[in-house]
Amino acid sequence: MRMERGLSRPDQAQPRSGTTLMPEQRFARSGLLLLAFSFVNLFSTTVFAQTTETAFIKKYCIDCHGADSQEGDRRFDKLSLSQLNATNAESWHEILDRLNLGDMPPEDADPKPTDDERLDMVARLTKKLAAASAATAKPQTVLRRLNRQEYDAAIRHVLGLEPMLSDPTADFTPDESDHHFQNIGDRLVLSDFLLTRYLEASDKYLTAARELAAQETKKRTWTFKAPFCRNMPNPDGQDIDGKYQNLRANPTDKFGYLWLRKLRRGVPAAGRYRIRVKAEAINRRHPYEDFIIRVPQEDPLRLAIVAGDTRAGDLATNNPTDQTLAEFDVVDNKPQWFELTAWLDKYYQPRFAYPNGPVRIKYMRHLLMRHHRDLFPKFLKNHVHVFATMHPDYDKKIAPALERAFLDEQDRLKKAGQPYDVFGTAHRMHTNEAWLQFYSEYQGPRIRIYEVQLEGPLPEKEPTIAARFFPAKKLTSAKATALIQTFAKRAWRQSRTKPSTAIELYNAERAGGATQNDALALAYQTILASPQFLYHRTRRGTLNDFELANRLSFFLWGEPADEQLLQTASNGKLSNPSELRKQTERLLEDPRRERFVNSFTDSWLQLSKLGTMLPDRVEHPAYYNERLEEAMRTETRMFFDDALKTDAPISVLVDSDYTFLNSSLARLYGIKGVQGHTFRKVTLTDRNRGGLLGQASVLTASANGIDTSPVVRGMWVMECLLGTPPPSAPPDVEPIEPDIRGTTTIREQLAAHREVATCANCHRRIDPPGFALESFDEIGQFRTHYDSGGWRKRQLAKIDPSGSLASGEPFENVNQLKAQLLKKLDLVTANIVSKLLTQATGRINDSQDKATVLAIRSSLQSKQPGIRELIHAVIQSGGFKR
Amino acid sequence: MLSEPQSRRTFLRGAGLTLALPLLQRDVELFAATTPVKTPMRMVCVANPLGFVADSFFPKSTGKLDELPTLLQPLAKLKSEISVFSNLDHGVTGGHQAVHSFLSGIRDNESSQWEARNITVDQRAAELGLGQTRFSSIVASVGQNSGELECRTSWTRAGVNIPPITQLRPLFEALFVTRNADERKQQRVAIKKHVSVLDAVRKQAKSLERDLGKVDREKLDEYLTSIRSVETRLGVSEQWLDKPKPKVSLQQPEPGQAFTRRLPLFYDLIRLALMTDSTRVASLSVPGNLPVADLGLQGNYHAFSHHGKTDRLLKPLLVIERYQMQQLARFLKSLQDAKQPDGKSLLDHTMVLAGSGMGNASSHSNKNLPVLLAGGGFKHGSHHAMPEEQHRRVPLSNLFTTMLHKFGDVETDKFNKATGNIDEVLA
Repeated sequence: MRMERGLSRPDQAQPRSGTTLMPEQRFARSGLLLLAFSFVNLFSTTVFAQTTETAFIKKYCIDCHGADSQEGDRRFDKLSLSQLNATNAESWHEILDRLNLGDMPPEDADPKPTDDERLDMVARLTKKLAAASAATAKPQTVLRRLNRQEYDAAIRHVLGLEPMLSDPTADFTPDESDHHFQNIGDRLVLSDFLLTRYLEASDKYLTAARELAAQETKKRTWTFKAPFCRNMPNPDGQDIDGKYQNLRANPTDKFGYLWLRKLRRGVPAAGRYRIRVKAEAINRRHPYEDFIIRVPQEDPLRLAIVAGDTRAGDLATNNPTDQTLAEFDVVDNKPQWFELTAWLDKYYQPRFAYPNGPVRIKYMRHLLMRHHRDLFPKFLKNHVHVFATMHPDYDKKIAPALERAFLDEQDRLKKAGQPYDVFGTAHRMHTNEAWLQFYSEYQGPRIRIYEVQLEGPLPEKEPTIAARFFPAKKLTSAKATALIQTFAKRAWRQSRTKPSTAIELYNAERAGGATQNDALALAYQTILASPQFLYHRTRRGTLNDFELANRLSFFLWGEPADEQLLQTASNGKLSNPSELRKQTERLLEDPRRERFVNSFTDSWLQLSKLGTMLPDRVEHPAYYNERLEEAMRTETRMFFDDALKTDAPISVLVDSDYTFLNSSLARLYGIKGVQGHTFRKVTLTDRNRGGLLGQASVLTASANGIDTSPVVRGMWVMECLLGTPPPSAPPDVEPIEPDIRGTTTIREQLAAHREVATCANCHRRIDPPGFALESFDEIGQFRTHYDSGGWRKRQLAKIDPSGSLASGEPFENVNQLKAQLLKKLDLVTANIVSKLLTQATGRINDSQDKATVLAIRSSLQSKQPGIRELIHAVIQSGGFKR
Repeated sequence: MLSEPQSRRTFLRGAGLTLALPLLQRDVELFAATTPVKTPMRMVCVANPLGFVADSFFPKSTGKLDELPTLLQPLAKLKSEISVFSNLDHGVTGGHQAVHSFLSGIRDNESSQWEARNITVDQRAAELGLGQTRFSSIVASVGQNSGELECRTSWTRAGVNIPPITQLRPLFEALFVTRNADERKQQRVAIKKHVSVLDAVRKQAKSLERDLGKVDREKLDEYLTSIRSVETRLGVSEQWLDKPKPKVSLQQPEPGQAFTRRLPLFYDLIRLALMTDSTRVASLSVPGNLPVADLGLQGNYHAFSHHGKTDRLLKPLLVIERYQMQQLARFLKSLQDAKQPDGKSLLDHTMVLAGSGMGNASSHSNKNLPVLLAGGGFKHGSHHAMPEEQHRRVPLSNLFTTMLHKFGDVETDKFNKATGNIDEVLA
């Protein structure tokens, strides 16, 4: 703490030498523009009004950011407030952010404004900037294409294919993101690659729709009995044909699934199916050490029903087309029926897995032989060489000689043309026979599957949308034209443009002898490849009611507007604030808000990073065994969804006395008394876990799976929580090279980094919150010391989580950090408003948006607005409609 | 659970493949007929996302390659066929997030400032040969990558990352398995269908222009350009549809094999694709989630790269890096052994660039990238140390410019951020 203060003295800062830097360049260029404007201001009538703000700048800022010195390449002596344009507005917004944060002017500045003066300046500046006119905004893209998720949702919506399992967009080029948002118009490029994928994907969607339309529902029933499949050539003695078959291992393992060999080609038609399975858990309490089986004995065994495409490959293991349909807790020692109704695509079949089953079976067996040798006499006797370490008679003195003798013997046999072991010494224990022998002696946890029943496709109540667009009866030319027009109106989101070329194509195809549905499909494909479908909007100006309906729906549901929204829009009522609020409420009440919750937490909190840098399997087996990544995401999504439902105050994001946990996550957090896989609201006694900063999802996404960095976590706090990201690091500074041999901590190395003047300015802001978060490791476990990692862990330096924010507030640990951040809720609120606006509009806030954000923040009645209220405020704002 | 005996078995088969080298000459004779009169230039770019440990990659002395550091030792016999460069980079920062700029010099988030976005050197080369070979380029990766540990080697003029082929089988089928008449007929119908859809769509899109401002007209142009480009591609595919694919002695690869089996097979497929003139440009990346167990190690490639100077992590890291170099050496050797109609070797007609967008994975630095150039008829055998001082640094794109010129690019004066050429490698 003392250290940072000492290092952050700005008088140590030196002006930077002339290197080429992006953000700085921008400011340098704007300096020239500002010069021109300041002459105009001399004659401006608003001279009086702006004196207080410019006087403030003159008094407190221009010593360091004026004509004589331009620290951080910022110069404010000629900044105009009356003539705001796109460039100087950006400088003013930055000044406002820093005053809000309270870290500029720096603590040791002289003179330094009093808190009252500073807050007064903040209030004035907020008001001015909030009122800034549209002239400050740069021109922007209207043609924002649907991203991959939106494309998929939109096309399913149009064709009525919502329950489809297969994903025709799987091989799309990934959408480029901007500030972790995946819907930013400027970044969503349309390329020849993607257009080719669009054509191929629309083929698949249209084929699925035609099959659905042509299908005559003939319900069938199937009954399957053990053995459901032959994962190995022989039963292991614990499977009993005609009675039951066992699941023993995690689905990531080879043979991790039971599949239905009598349904090798999947179900014959797409539709809803009733799936019933009779299952029982055995051996949850087993005779082995916990560290070997690695599945917590207190957790019930889970049964997953997973649908997969039978054409995609091996059904006995994970398959890229897999979709988990449901999961159940299986009761111990009592067979029970589990039932579910789910959609299955043609060629898909339901398979069964044990998702919390033991992983890395080969290694598990190795450990069993080391620690429970006496329980596997037959396996050891028949399948393990005496010179293998796991053999009971292993003697390291003679083993090498025995091994050599064995190999020589094989060599002799080979030369003599007799049968020999081609695979060498480790082979015998890996044959199928060896595994079967092992499993016949293994008394670990298993799920017994007794019977599976399947019934479907179940009759649908209403004729499908697909059937409407691919009619069985013959159409007159006029009827066909009308149908194509209806389709276009639906696909083009009520655009009034006539699909004339699609109709021409239909007629030409028909004249050329194509069947009615072939020709229709081609016309539809044309419509689905048109800009009116691929882009959110294709015209300039304020949103009309239909466009408003779609923006609202894509924002909160991730799909095009539904009938009710369109109805309201066509009555011209949607732009009416109270009706807009009513519709917003309706959308937020619907479970489809899940798409918003998921995509918003992924972008705003950067949770999309989860899974991109995986933790080490050896260091963190629980991450894999207990599916922590999924659990982490679920916690944050449920936490946010709950805040949304209850309109919880913003402060819960910084600190809360509750969160959502299941047993796996509670174990990671060291919280007792949470049992089972289901998530529930848990009241926290350990406040380390309160708010977003205590959640493993955030702590893992802000690390790299291998180690933590106070800089990355500090950046996360600045960017995601406070919304005041510092500029990116200059390229001429060599990054810190970590030295983990144990003598210096990252904190000491960063202290050295901050002695470099170029680094100090930003790092005194970034690092401190990161220091407090060092109390959590790379997957969010609490820790007090660093450790060496590896098999033999050594405890290294103690973690010092103390520090002080650049604005001066000290803290001793992460809880005190949160208390300090709670004083900056204004910034948190503005940040969420800004991110919501980005999520809704698909543009990174321009200066007009920033003005909108400021206006929303000042208009909020309560000091602690609720999250739902913020969503309403964003939707009602002018920024939402442009 | 049976992966061990399998990997042993596949290892044996892998060893068998290296023995198949004498067959190479036969392959060439098979295709002598299809090879064009003037032997074309080819380009192969190889990348990994975590770089190479600098101390073990860069030779101690500059000038003629003499004593080789650990990582270059597998290339000892090819010393006169390679050049090593130090102090080359793109002046970008971002650690893992900047690795994808290796072949372009431009990060994706700044690509909109450039006319050709962040087009990579391999894709620029591919543009030059469009239509001359069945595939304008092959973009491959040895296995499924994950997120930020991807190389993302190849980007187009539209600023789009080309998703790599990660499986051997589809690559083999695309290159060497001729579709039967029925399948070809179906393909032709599909192409014809897509052509008529695009034609209709283009007419429709024209009507939008009047409703849009300047920025959006550019965006619409992006769309129209894509249509034209897809039409060209469909034309090329149709043109190649009935031409029989070359036959090779390599068997159809089996799916799901160990990494140590797949990396050499990817190299073999690329070599055969070049020999049969199925393509002239290829890029190959090693994934950041490389299954180190296949190299007999326990742990995680990415974790090793955060070595923090400890031996516990450095040693296995060097095993992984050395393995990559051994396979590169094997690939270069196989190109050297393949003779071309003009009497020179395939390596003389193939410039191979190997390296990484990561300079130092332990500090996440994108400076001083490991860069090695082989073949392509350049003057080799030296370690070129470029100026180290900030204001005199040479962009890596200068080397790309030189490579493109050699490849036959007469339009590119300075590639992306290039300031000139690197003449040192010109004979």
